[in-house]
Amino acid sequence: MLLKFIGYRLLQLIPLLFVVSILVFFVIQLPPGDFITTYVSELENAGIAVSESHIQHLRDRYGLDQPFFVQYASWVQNIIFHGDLGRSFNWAAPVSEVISGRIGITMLIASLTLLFTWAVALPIGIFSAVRQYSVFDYIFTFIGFIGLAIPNFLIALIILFAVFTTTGVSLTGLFSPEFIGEPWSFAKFLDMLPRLWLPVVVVGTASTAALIRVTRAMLLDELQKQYVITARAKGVSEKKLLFKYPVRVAINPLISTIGWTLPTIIGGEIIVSIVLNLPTTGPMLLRALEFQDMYLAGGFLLIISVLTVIGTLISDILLAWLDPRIRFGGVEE
Amino acid sequence: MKSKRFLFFSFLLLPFLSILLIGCFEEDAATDLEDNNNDVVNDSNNNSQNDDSDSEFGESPYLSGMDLPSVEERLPKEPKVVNEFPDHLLDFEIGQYGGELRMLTNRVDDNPEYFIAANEPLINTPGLEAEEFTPNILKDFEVNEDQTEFTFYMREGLRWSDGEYVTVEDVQFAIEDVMFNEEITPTFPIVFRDRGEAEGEPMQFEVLDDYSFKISFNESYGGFIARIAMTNGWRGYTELLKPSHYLKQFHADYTPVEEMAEFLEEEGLGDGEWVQLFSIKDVRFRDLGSRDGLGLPVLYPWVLEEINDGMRVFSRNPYYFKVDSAGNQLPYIDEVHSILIEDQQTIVLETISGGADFVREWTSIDNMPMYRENEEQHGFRAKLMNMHLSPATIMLNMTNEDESWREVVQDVTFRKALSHAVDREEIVDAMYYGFAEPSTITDHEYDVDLANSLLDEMGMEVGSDGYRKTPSGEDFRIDLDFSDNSPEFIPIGELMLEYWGALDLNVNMRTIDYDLRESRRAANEVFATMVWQSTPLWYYPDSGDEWGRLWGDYYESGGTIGEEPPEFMKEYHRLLDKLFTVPVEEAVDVDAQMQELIGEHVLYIDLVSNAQQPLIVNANLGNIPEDESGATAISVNASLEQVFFRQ
Amino acid sequence: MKIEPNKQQMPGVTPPPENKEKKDEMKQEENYQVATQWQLIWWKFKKHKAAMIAGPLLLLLIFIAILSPFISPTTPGERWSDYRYAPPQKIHFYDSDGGFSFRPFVYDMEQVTDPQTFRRTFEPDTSERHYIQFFTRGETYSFYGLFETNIHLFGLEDSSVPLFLMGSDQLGRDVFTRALYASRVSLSFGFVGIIFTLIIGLVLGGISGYIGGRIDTAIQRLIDLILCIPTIPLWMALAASLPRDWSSIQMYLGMVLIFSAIGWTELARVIRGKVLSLREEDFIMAARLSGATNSRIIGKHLLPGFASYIIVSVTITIPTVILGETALSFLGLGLQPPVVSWGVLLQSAQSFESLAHHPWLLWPAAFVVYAVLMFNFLGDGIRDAADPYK
Repeated sequence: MLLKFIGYRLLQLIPLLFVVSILVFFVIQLPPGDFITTYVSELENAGIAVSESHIQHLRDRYGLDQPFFVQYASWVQNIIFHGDLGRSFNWAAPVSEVISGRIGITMLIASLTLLFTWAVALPIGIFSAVRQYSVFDYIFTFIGFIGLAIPNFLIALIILFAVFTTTGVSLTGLFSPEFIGEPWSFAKFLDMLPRLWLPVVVVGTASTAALIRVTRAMLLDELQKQYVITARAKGVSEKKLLFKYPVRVAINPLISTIGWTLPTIIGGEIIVSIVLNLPTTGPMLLRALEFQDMYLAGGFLLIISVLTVIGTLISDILLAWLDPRIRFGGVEE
Repeated sequence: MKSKRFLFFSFLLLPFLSILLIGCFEEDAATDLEDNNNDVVNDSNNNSQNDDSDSEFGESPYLSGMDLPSVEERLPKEPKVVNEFPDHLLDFEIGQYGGELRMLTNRVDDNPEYFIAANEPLINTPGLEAEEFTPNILKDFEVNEDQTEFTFYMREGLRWSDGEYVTVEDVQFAIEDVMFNEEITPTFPIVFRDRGEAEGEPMQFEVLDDYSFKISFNESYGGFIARIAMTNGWRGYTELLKPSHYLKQFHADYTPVEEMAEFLEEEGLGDGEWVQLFSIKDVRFRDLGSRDGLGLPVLYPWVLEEINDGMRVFSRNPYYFKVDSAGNQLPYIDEVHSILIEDQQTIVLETISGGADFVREWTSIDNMPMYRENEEQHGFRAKLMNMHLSPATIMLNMTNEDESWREVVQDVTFRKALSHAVDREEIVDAMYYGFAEPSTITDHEYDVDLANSLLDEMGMEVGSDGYRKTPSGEDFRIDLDFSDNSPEFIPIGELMLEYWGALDLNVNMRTIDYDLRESRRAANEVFATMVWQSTPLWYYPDSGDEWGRLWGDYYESGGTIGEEPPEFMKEYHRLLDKLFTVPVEEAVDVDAQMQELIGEHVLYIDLVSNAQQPLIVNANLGNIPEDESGATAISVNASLEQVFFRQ
Repeated sequence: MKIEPNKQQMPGVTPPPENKEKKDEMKQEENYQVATQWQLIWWKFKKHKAAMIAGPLLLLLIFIAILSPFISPTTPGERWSDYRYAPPQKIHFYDSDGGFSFRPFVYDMEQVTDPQTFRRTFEPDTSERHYIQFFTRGETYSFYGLFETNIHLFGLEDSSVPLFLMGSDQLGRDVFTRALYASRVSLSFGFVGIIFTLIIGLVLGGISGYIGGRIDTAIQRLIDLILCIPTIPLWMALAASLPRDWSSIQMYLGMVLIFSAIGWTELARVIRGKVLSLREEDFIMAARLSGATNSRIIGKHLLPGFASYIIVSVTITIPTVILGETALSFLGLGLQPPVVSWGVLLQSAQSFESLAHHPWLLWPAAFVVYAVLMFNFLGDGIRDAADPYK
């Protein structure tokens, strides 16, 4: 039954990815101009006259004059048959090469942020629900909302500045200068750890606050249900009463949100990474969009989308596992 | 139940998996780069400099242990002895070897500061003052009486950074096989045509002997020397001098295309696209940090050695051709590190925490208080030097296709009115702390009443919506679109809204992406914009790209594209041509005439002049001109090979 | 053992106060049974103290935003060129000699620029008190195009002296006034945004959950599609593609639409999930079996069932839109000067130089935090109250 469900969802993936790839390609080409216009004007600014025929050469090479669907078709064809995401104009290198170094760090920050969010939000959410309207509830609610309310980039700037004025150290980058460009080593890893908490906390603040609210809300609903009241009446201990079912039901939405929390985190990570100067995909994506470096941006968005889709799939499977109602509903359709 | 737990734990494992993932990729990247790595020797004995008593030349201890010829053999027979500044700007001091100079950039493939630092023209002009021209890579040059023939003498024994000798063959290759090759260079560059004009005939080139060559024109072209020196777009040497021994392997005249297959594939090029391959490998001076430049022999003080995510390392060129007066081979500094930082504010933080040794491009006078507060503690100096640019100029594109726009903007009265409505004193005070002067190119008097009466005179009446209409009664709006190149642009833009709003004009302001603005400029879609421009330097004039796009096209293409300009623009272009054909002494007068023309016709609305620019340097750097010397910040940037770390 | 045997012995003689309490309780019980749903919600809402405070505070902000031209002491474009980066003025009741005044007053300031440190500092000029008055005459403004006036709620009598409650910016403009005007833009941005978002989210989420089948699948895939592309790049690309010749107001609406077009998914997903699980509940089944129409089932049984979730989502979404606007402004893609919004104001303040030397430029951030906090507290209270039968 479950296998059938997974298979069914996997099949659904194919058209989804297809549409995502079209959409991504389309969105990137929306702004006026293309990479060549940018490139040429850069050269002209530098005092290099670029001949029309050279521009034509470049356009032919990248197929920029062809209609949208022809460009798209050749892009997809290369991905499917050769696993080739195309070349980045800006970096003058294959997209896969450009991305590979950074996607790992992005995923690391994203998954750590996710864990951080859960680790903080779950206990607070449960506590706030159990002690509704207590002083703690108010305090945590307040702190959580403050985290939600201050724009991420501002938190990042303020923390950076505070650290600088107190210690004179600029906490930007993921490594100390001496480790930039060094191959991975244990020392480099240790060097990274103290600099990692900042992006994780900053990116995590907003989603933590949201998650506290959701957990609290779900648990409150659950605690008022008949079975809880019955159990309490039967003298089940408060601890068991809380953790046996209500908490498990209440974290359902957390699991169902794994998939799309990821893009939110990656989105938030863009701005924070720019401020903190992290070697992640965020700033690179921003730049690729600015330059209309469409294969790079497209390849990127596609990879992130695929990861998200897989994440959603995993969360759906987990959910189906935990909550048979959804499983049966899902398969019947 | 068990499997559920397993799944949960695999989620916990996610971060660790990603670490593994990074590990794998990074390793790949690292091994890739090692191929290009020369063996870097980490030298600890720093005091061996200039101790070899039997040698008249000194060399950096950085190079000892490398398998290199002796320093005499590496230097040309007559090395260039520097001071790169005129003596009145800098009192030259013999420096010490060693150190890594950290620079910052926010561009992936490009560091404008490094580009300026490394740039080596054939002929240069000390301090970028354009008062005299001195040989740089060349040993000497001669100009005949009627300014038509230019003879150039090369330095014998000069070598590329890979140790190959630089000969006239390299010049011949650059000119005959590249510049005159219609496939690689479809449009012959203007600079190398008669009179420096698009209609002019291409130059004639003649090899005289192994170390000298001659370039001649049909008509006198006095500005040629100035044009191949520092001026007109940081030319560098690459147009006339290319490492032929390296580039021949990408040129179809020397290497069969089949043998290039491997390179073609690496660059993602199709069969037979050798021209593109050549253009990629022949890195023009602008892309010094581009990864295509790995392996390209150069004449710069430093050579691109390593690219990794976030940093580019340039290490000293053992064959660099300059020495100080004590015979020490330059540069003093062993390595330049270009560190990528994307966000402007993060660059500020890095700067004030002493994370860079040299910052010019990314400084802002608005941050001066921050610099001052931190300079003691973090070991740098915040200097205030002259700026080589006009930092903010408003340009109205007079050739935008919109008819009612043209009707108004092409009328000089209108442009005068806009200029009079601007309170330049306020801009100087608000944006530059008084460290600038109101621009005097145009009549700069602040007089709103006069401006209003000029508009009334034109027949621009105020309509029912409270805005002035065109003389023929159409709606009229000024769209001021600019990119946020400089921190003062947005507040200046807001001031413009206020100034021109006071004339009852409908003004709309938008900050747009740099590239978007560029593509709109290319498409002649810009109405009004704000830019910085280098026109205050006489040898850096502009042909009207921003304020008369189609007229500029007409001029540059020799009338094939664009639109025929009105008489005063033709006059402007005539002066522009003249600027480069007369000898240098006369050029300054021509420039004065051009300024006058710009002012009289208010070709653009210049706001401030003589602005100053903060320059951040490590407090231990030597051979940096004093603040009061009058040197420009950019000229300090251009002479980093003679700058050193004091120990 | 206890000292209460008496009571048990005499059950009829209960002390009067207790009796009254019980009566109240009974009365309440009675009320509880006859009260309408909204009455119940109100009673429950009243218990949430934070929300009870947040509600009026939020209303106050909205009120101030609407009346911003009148309340602010000047206009957002007015420049005092001798007061650049002026710090907030202190409001005095005592002067330096200890003289007391019931009416608060401020001192004029003198700007000094230090050519060495490049700091602009201000010395208060204590020679003259400038009293803060009500209904002063200042800059002329147009009140929503209805009428023109120069009367401001408060200000200084002498209009040549500025009143900077929150300091001034680089061009000498009043940060307080600008922040008030910005509230108008940013709050309305949130409200207009949520209306579009709600419409799309409710309709699509509801249809998806209730009807199910192919339509559900299609909508679900659409949601997955939008959710799996990171929002900020999507915003960026869309914001960059808005036509260039749009006026500020069109840009504003365009931005709102972009936010809604991307932001509805979360709401739709929540609603769909809720409908889906409610659909399986017995009382829906019962309603359906007893022949209730779809619209009746949706209106009577489903909507109240997930009203709380809609409200939670709404109260989270409005601040998200407000924050999204600031984020896009940070990237230089959002609303732009001369439009005055919180994001625009913050964009020019988000530099280390501002943090260090003129932190008062960050006051708009306080407005953002205030608004987002109040929305969340309010939403929290409504959420707790919205299911009154529990």
